[in-house]
Amino acid sequence: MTGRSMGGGEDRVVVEGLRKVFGRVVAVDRVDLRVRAGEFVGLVGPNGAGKSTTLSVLTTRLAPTEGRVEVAGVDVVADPAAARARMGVVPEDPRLYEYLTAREMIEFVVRVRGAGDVDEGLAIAGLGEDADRLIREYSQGMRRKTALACAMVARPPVLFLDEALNGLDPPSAERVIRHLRAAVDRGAAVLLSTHVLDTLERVADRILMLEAGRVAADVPADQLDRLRARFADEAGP
Amino acid sequence: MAPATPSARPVAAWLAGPNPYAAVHRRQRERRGRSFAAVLPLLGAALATPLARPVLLRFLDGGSVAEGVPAFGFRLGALVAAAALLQGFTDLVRGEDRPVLDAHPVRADLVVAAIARRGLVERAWLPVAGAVLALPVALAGHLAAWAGLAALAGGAFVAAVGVGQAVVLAGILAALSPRMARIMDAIRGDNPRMHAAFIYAPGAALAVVGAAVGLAASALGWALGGWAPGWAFLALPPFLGWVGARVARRLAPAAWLRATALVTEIDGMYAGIEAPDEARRVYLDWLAGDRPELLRALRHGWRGLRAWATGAWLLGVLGALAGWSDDPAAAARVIAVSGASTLFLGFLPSRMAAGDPAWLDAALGVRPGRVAGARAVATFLYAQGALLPPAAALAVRQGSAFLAPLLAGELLAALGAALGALAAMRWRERGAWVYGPAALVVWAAVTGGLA
Repeated sequence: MTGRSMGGGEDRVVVEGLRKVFGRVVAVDRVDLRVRAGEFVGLVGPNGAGKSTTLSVLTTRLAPTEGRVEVAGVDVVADPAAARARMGVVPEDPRLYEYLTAREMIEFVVRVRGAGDVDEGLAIAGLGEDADRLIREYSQGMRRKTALACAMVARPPVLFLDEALNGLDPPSAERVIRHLRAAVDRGAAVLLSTHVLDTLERVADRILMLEAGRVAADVPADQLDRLRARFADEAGP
Repeated sequence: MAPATPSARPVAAWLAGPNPYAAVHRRQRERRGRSFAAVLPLLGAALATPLARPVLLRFLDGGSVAEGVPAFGFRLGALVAAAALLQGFTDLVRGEDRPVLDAHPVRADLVVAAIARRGLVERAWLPVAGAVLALPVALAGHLAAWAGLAALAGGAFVAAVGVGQAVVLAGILAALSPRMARIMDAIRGDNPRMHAAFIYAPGAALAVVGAAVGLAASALGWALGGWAPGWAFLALPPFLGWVGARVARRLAPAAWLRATALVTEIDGMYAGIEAPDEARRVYLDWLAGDRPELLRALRHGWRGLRAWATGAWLLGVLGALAGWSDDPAAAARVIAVSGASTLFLGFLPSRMAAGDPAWLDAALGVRPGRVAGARAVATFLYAQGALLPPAAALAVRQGSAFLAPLLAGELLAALGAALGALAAMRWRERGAWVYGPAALVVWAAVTGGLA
């Protein structure tokens, strides 16, 4: 594993007082968080804690009820198009064009972003000859690898990954983690939402825990055991 | 320090054109291969043509063509436009592009243009089906009138695609505008405020397109009556479509991207306002008794294929409109509309089979015949929504005259449900390809008998 960045760069993700309400349901309640350039932050929490809602707001797929959200210096509500140009996104359920191959999907992303190297994208996906098969024939893991390649190929300054490592076989997960760490070393800010604490322990610099829509803990990754104990308490006997 | 961005290599040849989104659509279309999806409606239109003559083209039997064509042309154009508008709304707001492109920065104007182009190409069968439906006009020797009707259907289609996009995108901006909040609150009913613009957008677009089609249809009548400049008015709907497309491209950068947040918000609001026990309520489940297969089919139908259950009642409203008349021909119209509706619902078992994995039935040890029977019963029960409103309308207007159409409708519903379930039992979701032609044969026999 490459060495961890200490995350001393400028703020790439700024969330202040984020609140999201659906009718009477408060999904996110006054969340503050920051991710710096060259920092890998893990976002954890039980189901319904507000992780996906927070990521949806950050990735312009949902408008906040209250609060300020900036990605790479761009207000995601005021200028969602500009914000998207500065981020790579892997949603929880990544969607791709079913009748393209992974190679064509990556070529398409390189074309619309106007940046990126298709060969580098293919290396991130690691699909080998399967890169020339139609995506509709792919397993969930292969789709996720393709989506990761699409998110990373243009080397955006910020990466938002929602459960992006789930379903990957161990060698693929290793390869993706290597590429993610390389992106962080180049100065990218990464926010990864996951349930798998073991993964975070190895790759993250800092871990944020959401609970009932609020930030319940913000700890360095080497203090993950504190969160593990908390998860265990919630799981019960 | 910003991460280094690798320089883009030469663009892949297949993406070299000015619109990469259109290139993706083209490639997807090529790979999906030829589909019978467009052939079936054309066959349906051809088989329905004998019915159109006594119901919609009575002017051919001794009436004035110059007077009859505008009325038929307006209905034909409105039908084509309505179908194109509804599909266009789905393409633009909840289509397959949005979840894919949500993860990337996009040129929204090019995306919207590509979606319009795809709609024009992939649903070109709509105006063609309209022209087929009007064939009796040509067969009666009125070739110019038929050409005018075909042009009208084509123009209505183009207008619906272009105007539909402009109105939907304007609706997105209206839904997000604080200045429009009061108006939205006034018209939204029980729906979330933001949904109001979406609810009314197709109707507003249809009003605009309908006005243009109505004027063009009237002008077609004048042209057939000898006023040659009337032909020029046939260009009005497609011109309107072109204007709509231009406006849509202008609105796209501000509106298309934001629709994702809007749709997510609306879905979240609905999830939030639904009562906790809402998910447990199932349409007609009280009829299942102690038959677990039927309960499973009803639950699957309501939770996974709800549009079929609610859509049946919408079809029933259409049937009621056909039956709300003192005209003795109303009973035949009701049989035609209800028959088509119930036969269409016969596709439901195949859709259910698509969502019921074969391994699950094997693991549960369920007998295929019982599952098929349950799907048939569920389909027949759903079909009542398409049958009861027209029967009620006829009963009010013509007393006992409703009995024969109702009986005929029930027989067709039972036949469609049974055939559909048998096809689904044997070929699962591919059963639709067997059921479709069988239903068309039944439909042809019914319309032939009525004619």
